[in-house]
Amino acid sequence: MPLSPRRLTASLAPLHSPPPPRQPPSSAPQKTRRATTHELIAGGGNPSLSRQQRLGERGRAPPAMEYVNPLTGFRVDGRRPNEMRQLKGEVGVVARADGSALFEMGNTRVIAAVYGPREVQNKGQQVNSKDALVRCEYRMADFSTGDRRRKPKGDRRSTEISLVIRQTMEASILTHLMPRSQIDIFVQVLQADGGTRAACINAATLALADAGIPMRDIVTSCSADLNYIEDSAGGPDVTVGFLTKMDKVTLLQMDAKLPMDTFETVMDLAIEGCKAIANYIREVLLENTRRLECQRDH
Amino acid sequence: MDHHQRWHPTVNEREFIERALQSDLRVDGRRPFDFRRLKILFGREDGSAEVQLGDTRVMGYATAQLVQPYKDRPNEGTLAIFTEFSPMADPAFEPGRPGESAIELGRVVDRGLRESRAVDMESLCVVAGKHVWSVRVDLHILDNGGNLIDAANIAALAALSTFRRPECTVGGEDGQQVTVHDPEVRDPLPLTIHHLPIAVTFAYFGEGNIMVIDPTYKEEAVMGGRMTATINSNGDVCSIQKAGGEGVMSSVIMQCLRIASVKAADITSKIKNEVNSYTSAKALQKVKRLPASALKKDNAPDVAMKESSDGALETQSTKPSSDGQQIDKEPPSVVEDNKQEDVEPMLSECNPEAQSESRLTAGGSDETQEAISPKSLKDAVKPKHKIKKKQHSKS
Repeated sequence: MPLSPRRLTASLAPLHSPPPPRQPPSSAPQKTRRATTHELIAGGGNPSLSRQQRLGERGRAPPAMEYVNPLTGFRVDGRRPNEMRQLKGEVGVVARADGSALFEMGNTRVIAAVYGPREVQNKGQQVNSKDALVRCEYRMADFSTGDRRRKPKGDRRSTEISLVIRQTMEASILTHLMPRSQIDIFVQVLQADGGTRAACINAATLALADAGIPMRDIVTSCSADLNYIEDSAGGPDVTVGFLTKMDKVTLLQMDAKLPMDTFETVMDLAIEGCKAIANYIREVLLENTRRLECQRDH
Repeated sequence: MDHHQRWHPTVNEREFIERALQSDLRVDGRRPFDFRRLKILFGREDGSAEVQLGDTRVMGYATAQLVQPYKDRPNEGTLAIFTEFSPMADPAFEPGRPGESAIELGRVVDRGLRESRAVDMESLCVVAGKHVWSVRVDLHILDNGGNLIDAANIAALAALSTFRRPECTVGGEDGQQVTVHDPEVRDPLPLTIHHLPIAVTFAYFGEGNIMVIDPTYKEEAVMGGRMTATINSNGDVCSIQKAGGEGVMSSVIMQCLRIASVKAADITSKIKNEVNSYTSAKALQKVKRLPASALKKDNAPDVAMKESSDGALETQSTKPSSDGQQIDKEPPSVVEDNKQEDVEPMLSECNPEAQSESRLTAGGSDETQEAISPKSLKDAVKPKHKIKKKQHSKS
C-alpha cells in the first residue's frame, strides 16, 4: 500500500491543540448541515445512513473510492484529513435522571442517562459486595438511521456495544467507593452517522460526571478511519477509549486488515482525537459548574 | 448474565496468582508469553475440527448451503459464525439465549475472519443474485479452561480449512438451473482461504504493567483487562478487541502486537501442518477403501467397479454417465448419506494406520502420498473423469 507523501504528512501533522472544529459559542452551525463522508459514500439512497449502519450486522465493506481529494487534500465533507467533526456536549438533558448528557460528533447524536449509585435491584447480579455494580444498556433509536426499521432489542451488535461501554466505564469509575450499590447507564443513539460507539462513551462520561460519580479519570473515545489518511478499499475503523491523565488506552477496537505500522499511525491519530475531546469535555463540565454556581448565588 | 455466576477466587488465591505474576511465574508453570499445548483433531467428516488448548476444548463445524445472496452483494457468498456455550463447559454458562461473552466471542471471531477477507467470498457465488453458498461455522465450547476466543478462532480456521463444499454446475434451458453434484461423483471443493487470521489474547494485571498471553480460567478471573489481537502470519493486524478494563499504554499495545505476530506465525504453521496431514490421510483412505475389489476388477469398467465397491443402491443401468448423477438444487439425497454411513466403519478400521503414517510425514505433501500409494492402484479406483482431471493438473 503505497503512501503518498503528501497524505502521510497530513496524517502525521499534529492536531491543532484546541479542537479545531469546536463550535463557536451560542451560534447554531448545526443548521448548516454539511454532508459527511459517510453520507456521500452512501449515495442517494439513504442520505443520513452511516457506513457502519449500512454495513449493519453483516459488516460488509464499502466500495473503494477516494476519501481524500488528491487535488485539494480535503475530505469529501470538506474537512482536513486529521480534522475532527464538530463537537457539542450538553449536560442535564434528562430531568429525572441523576446525571445525563447529550453528545454530538458531527451528525452523530447520542443521549446518555445515569441512575445511581442506588441499591442493587437484582441481588443475584451482584458480583461482589465490595464494588459497585455497573450496568449499561445501549440502544439505537429506530429513527437513527436512514431505514426506519424496527430494530430487535438485544441483537448481537448492541449487546456487544453495551458490554464494551460498560467495561470501559468500569475502568474509570471508582467502584470500590460505592459498595453494595448499582449504577445504571442508559445510552441511546438518536442519530447515527459513524462513530456511534465513541460518541456513546463520551456521552456516558459526561453523564457520569453530571451524576457526581467518582471517577479516576475522564475516559473519552474517538475513532479514526484509515480512509482519512490514505485511500484504500474497505474502511478500517479504529475506535480508541482513552484515559487522558493516566495516558492509557482502555478500549481499542479495530477491524479490517492493515499493516502494523499503519495501524500505529491510525491509533496515534485516534488518541490525539481523544485528547482533544477530553479538553472539550472538561470545558463543558467547567462551564456547567460555573452555571450551577451562579444559580446558587442568586 | 453469565459473568455473574463466574467462579470467584478467594482473596488468598487472587493474591497468590498476582504475587506470582510479579516475578514472571504463572500458576501452570508457563512463562508469560507461552501458549498452552495446542492440539487440533479432525472429525470423520470434512469441515469438523476439535481444538484443545490446554484444558479448553472447542469444536468447530463448518457447513454450507445454497441461499439467495444479500441484495447489495449479489455475487458474494456469506459466512456466519454461531456460538454455542453449553452449560456442560462451565457452570456460568446458562442454557438458552447466548450470553454476553458468547456474543462477544462470536463477534470477535467473525470480525477477524470477515473484515480481513480471509475467505474468498466471490468464489462462493454460483449464479449472481440467485444462488450463493452460505457457509456457517458452529463453534461449540466443550470445556472452558480459559481463553475461549483463541481456541474458538483456531477451531473455526481448522474447520474452514478442511471444509469441502459440493461441486455444482449451472445448466438447464435458461442457464440458471443449478445442479449440485454428489460428493461421490465429483470431488467436493475446498474454500479459497487467502490467509489465516490468528487471535492472540493478552491478559493484563496490576495496572496494566504485567501481561501474559493465553490466560487460563483462573488467570481470567483475576485479570484486570484483556486484549485480543487477530493477526496473520504476514504481520497484518486483522482485528483488535479490547473492550474496556484496565488501561494500558499505547506502547505496550504495540509491543503486544509484535509478540502476537510471532505467535500467529507459529500457530499458522501448526494449523497448516495438521490440515495437510489430515487431507493426505483422507486421500489415503480413499485409496485403501477397496483393496479387495481393486484386485479383481482388472478388466471391469471403472464405473462398474465403483458401484460394486460402494454397495450403492442404484443399479448400474440407471446411472447415466460417470458424472451425470444430477440432483437438481438438492444436496446429496438421504440415500447417499446412509450409504456413506455404511461405508464409514470399514474406513475407520484402516484409519489409525493411515493417520499415523501421515503424521510421520508431517509435511504431508502430494509427493509423499504418492510414494506410499501405488499410483496405478489409485487411478484404477477412481472414476474415469477424475483420472482425466488428475492428469490435467499434473501437466
